[in-house]
Amino acid sequence: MDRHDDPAIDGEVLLYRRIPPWPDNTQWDAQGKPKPSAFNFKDKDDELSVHIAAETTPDKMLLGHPDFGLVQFTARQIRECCGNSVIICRCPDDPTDGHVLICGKITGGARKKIQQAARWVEDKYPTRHPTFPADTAANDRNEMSPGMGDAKAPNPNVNIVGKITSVLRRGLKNLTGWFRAWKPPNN
Amino acid sequence: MASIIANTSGALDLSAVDAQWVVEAARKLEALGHLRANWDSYGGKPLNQGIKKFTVQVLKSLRNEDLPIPAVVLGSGGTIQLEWHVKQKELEVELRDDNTIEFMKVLQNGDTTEGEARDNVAAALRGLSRWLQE
Repeated sequence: MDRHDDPAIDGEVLLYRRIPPWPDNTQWDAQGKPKPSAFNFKDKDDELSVHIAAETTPDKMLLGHPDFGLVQFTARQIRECCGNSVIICRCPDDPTDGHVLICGKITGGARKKIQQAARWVEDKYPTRHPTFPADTAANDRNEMSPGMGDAKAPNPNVNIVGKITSVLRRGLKNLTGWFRAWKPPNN
Repeated sequence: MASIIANTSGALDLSAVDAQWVVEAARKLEALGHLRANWDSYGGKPLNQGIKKFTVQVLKSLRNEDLPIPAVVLGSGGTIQLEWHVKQKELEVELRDDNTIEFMKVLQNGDTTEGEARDNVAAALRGLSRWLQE
């Protein structure tokens, strides 16, 4: 499909991109700070989806994507990082919530620059130890082939514990947000 | 020493591999195999089985190198990128579905060098590994 650059998407126009929590799409340093891998900024079809911050909200961006994080950068930063190898345009198939495509090959060097430019949206960090979506994943990760010294039996409790932890963590995050937003009524 | 990591689509054969970092990287790879389509919320493809085998080959070819456990990152097309951070240097190696690699070296001063290897990938990887350990 023909794509044409939209020069209005430039300068300080703020863009959002979701970051998956899966190891090692998000990596954590010794101080416990998350860092998105530069590989998150490569799209299989060379059409990287982002959303214009002014036309959506962080909560909308993460609706239905528990455990994901959200980063932001400006359109100018994208144009500076990628040079003329990309264009930025509205997504013609799904223009809702400021959906925009960064079209063109984003080289490894450009991805690295985007990684360095990206900042986490406040309070929208990914979950550090998410439960894998496949029901069997947690068990399989603990399961080794027979005959090995450190083989473990599958543990049916692992997955349910992970799920409960994830739900509690999300609940705590929401509660913290609610307390921060709460203001005492004026007398 | 673990030599085979069980999985749903054929075991990852790591026989004769003593390097713990290789085994740990293979474990990460196996875990990523459980992510389903749209795992990234942007239509990401599940781990490509050919790429998975290629990744294991790459890891095995580096088994004699003294390297830390790499980050094993799933990409939007079901491909894999291995990332090492050593002494303020970084090496990112993208494994492509035609069994070639694209790499990026990040020097201590932040400068980057990009390249690719189409032939003799194992030798190219060993060269990159030596650069990382210098």
